[in-house]
Amino acid sequence: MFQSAPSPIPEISDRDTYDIVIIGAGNAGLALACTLLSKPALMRDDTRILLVEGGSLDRVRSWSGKGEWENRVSSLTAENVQFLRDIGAWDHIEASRPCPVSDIIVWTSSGSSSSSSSQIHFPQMGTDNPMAYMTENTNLQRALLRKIEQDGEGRIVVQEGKKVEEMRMGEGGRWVGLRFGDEWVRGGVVVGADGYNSPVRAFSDIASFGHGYDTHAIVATLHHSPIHNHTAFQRFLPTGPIAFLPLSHDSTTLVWSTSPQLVAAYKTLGPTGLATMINLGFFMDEQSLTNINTQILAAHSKGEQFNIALLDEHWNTILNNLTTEQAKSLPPPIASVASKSIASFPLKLSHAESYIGDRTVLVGDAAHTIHPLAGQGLNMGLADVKVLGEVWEKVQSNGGDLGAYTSLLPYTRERYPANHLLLSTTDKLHYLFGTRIPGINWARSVGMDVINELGPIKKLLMGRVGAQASGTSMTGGGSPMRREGSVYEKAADGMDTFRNVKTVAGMAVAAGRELVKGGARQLLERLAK
Amino acid sequence: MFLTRSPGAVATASKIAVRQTQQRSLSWISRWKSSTPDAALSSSPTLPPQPLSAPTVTPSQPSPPPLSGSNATPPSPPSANAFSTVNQAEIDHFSRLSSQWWNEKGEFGLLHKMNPTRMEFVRQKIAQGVQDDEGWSFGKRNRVDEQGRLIKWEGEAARSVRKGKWLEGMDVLDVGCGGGLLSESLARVGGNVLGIDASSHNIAIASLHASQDPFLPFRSDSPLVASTSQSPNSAKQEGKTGSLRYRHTSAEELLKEGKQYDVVCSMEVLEHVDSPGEFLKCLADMVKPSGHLILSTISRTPLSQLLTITMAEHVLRLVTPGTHTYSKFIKPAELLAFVRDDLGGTDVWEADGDGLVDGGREGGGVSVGEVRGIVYDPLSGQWRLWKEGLPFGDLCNYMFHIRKKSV
Repeated sequence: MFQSAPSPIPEISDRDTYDIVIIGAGNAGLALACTLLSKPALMRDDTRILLVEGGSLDRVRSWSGKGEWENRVSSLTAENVQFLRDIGAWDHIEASRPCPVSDIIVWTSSGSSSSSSSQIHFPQMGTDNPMAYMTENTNLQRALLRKIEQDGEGRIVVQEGKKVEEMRMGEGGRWVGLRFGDEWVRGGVVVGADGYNSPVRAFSDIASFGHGYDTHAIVATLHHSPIHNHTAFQRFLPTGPIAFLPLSHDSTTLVWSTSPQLVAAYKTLGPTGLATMINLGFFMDEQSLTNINTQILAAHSKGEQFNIALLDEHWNTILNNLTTEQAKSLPPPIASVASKSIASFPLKLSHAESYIGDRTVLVGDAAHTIHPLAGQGLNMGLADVKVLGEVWEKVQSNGGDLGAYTSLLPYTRERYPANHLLLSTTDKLHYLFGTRIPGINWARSVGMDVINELGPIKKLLMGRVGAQASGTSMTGGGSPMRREGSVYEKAADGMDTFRNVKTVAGMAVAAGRELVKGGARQLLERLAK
Repeated sequence: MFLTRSPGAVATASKIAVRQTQQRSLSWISRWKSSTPDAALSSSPTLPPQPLSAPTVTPSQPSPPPLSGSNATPPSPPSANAFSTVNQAEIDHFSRLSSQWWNEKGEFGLLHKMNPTRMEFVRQKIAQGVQDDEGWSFGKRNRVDEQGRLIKWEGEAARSVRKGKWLEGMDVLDVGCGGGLLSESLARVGGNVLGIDASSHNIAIASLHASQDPFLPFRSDSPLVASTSQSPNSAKQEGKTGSLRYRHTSAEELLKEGKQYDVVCSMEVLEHVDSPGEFLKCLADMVKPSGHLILSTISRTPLSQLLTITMAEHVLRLVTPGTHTYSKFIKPAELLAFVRDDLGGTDVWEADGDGLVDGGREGGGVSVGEVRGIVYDPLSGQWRLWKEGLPFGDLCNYMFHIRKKSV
């Protein structure tokens, strides 16, 4: 399980012994520490938690909360905002920054103009009751850190600039020793909140499956003329979705997922060229867009600068022909792109085979990474953290061992299928919307499925899939998702239906849930014994 | 021999004692827990002290000095003439399994899963007994702070319950502690816990396991179990309340020492002992006034036979065949009747709830004690306490609680 090293673990003092060690002070790790802080039974007078960050948190601490927008922005579901309020973190948020989103418009188009697009318009919920908040990741991180440093003194120890170099199980398996340089600490349980390349996951010998998408996402802050900016837009292009996510009346964040070659080529267009390209990405018909992309790629591969005047020409034509009716359901034209905000990263899907190792447990990106099209990455991590906090509070109330397999089982039983459902649905949507059959009107060839597929997207974007609490989750039967995918995925999909039925059928349903939640494998193992 | 017991009491005890004639003599009888050293053990005095097999135990190290407190008496080996309710075959059975105690995915996996639910029951019973209004005054009652938030008044005891240290300051006895699953949990919530077991193997395993945990307030009384290399006994003890000790002894032997406890637990033991009546009397005598006696055991019904023996042992092989003996199971009504008729009834114990006559129970009369079903939901993989007042929950595994009157 853990790396075997020749030298024994040196004596570890009382001072370096912690009930819980959290590796990674990103949003998942910080939110976990914050959650634990709000649990009375867990935070007894003698409870000590160590939060370790490999880098420095100074940038987070000194973030001013003013001026230029961060390019890493996440959609926080209303449910998670409530959770952050409950644990006292939302009070520390720079309140002027998060942008409520009350409306989402999603569409795809393959016709000659955007008027022929199949479009779904989500019900207006009003800004008083927004479905999500676009929040800069640093804003949330700073709020969580402030809460911890304010209320966690002496109980939550934050250490920076320390990387785990070794993890080993103590004699008898009652604690895990962690080495940072020459220094050892020990913890009753170690949380891997250490991201996609999680060292904790590696030390725990937990495999992770998944695949990279041949897709990168380009992010940037966009500026436009002042509007009532509380509507998110997402268009599914053959190369991936382009999303417009509001930040303020005149600023918006962009997440454009497309091929790595195009991302590289777009970045060479410069802020002005990119701004026009983004406008085309939202407004231009698919065929013309594909032609433009071909030209841009050709220029890029030859190392030539693409003539951005050509883009302007296209853009002016579109603007001149745009009707007021069409403009209503499209985002505002982009005036400029903040040049420092332009960045890109590869997209991938991954899911750890298990969330529990020997006295280790994974949360957030260490457990799963998801395509950003649903904007659920951070939300999944927060849901993990919330459940783990609740599970541990109960374990501690009943005198349990926080790191024991049995103690952690309820966490993975609740989160694994929920996350798996989101991951697989998002994965499927990525491929489905990327499918184009040449020469055939895509929307027509796929027919009604397009409209049906928008149901799940809607739920995804509204954070209704895999979210607990909202009792109405996943009632949308008849989704074609059910017909596809692995047995496991299908089982996970069915679980929510089971959950709905559960109130009626009680324990009989739990039978189905065991199969789904723990996986048929576990049951078979048990039967085979 | 049996201390305070009159022959009459022994006779009535036999009413409830399950038919022992059917008892098979072999090691296949029990599982999950054994209790106390035993007549059979003492009948073979040539038996050498059990060597400890765990490699990390260093028998040669001297025992730490006895700590002050009630459990400072050195462990006494069971005397040859002592009456005991322990069944040697059961002890042998569990001794063989002792190394398995802490394998959560093995033989005792179901028990590991049951432990939090048993603790939940204990917590409900103890927390229920905490006087929430202790120390209440006009000055301290609910008030509103500057931000307009309601500050609820909370007594010290109620606060310790909320903060998870709900056994703080209480002496707790775990009879038939096995590998220490329950004892460790009781100690973590602040209890001064003594775990006793009839199997020296179990005590060795329990002591070793506790000694390796830096978070447990473990104190070794035994010369056999010394600290391991990580000096766990000294680690992270600062600020820890509660204590944990283990002793290889029987309930009957312990009773002779005359100490009483705030909470006496005996989980999954009753169905393994030879004379449950004598055993229960012994436990009852060790409960302090206002103290609690909490048991868990299995009822004798077709359902329990199907689930605990046919399914768990023979079909699913979750549990070693021979762990349970159907005839030794005890029905809740039998247990309640025993408390009423043979343990002093309402003269000694608090009446249940409002103390009204409970006609539904076998034999009628005022009901003393509470029975709560505890049901394994194989599909969610968790044990659940059956909802209070609902029927059928106690057809298989159940929890039992009685509280002694204050005087």
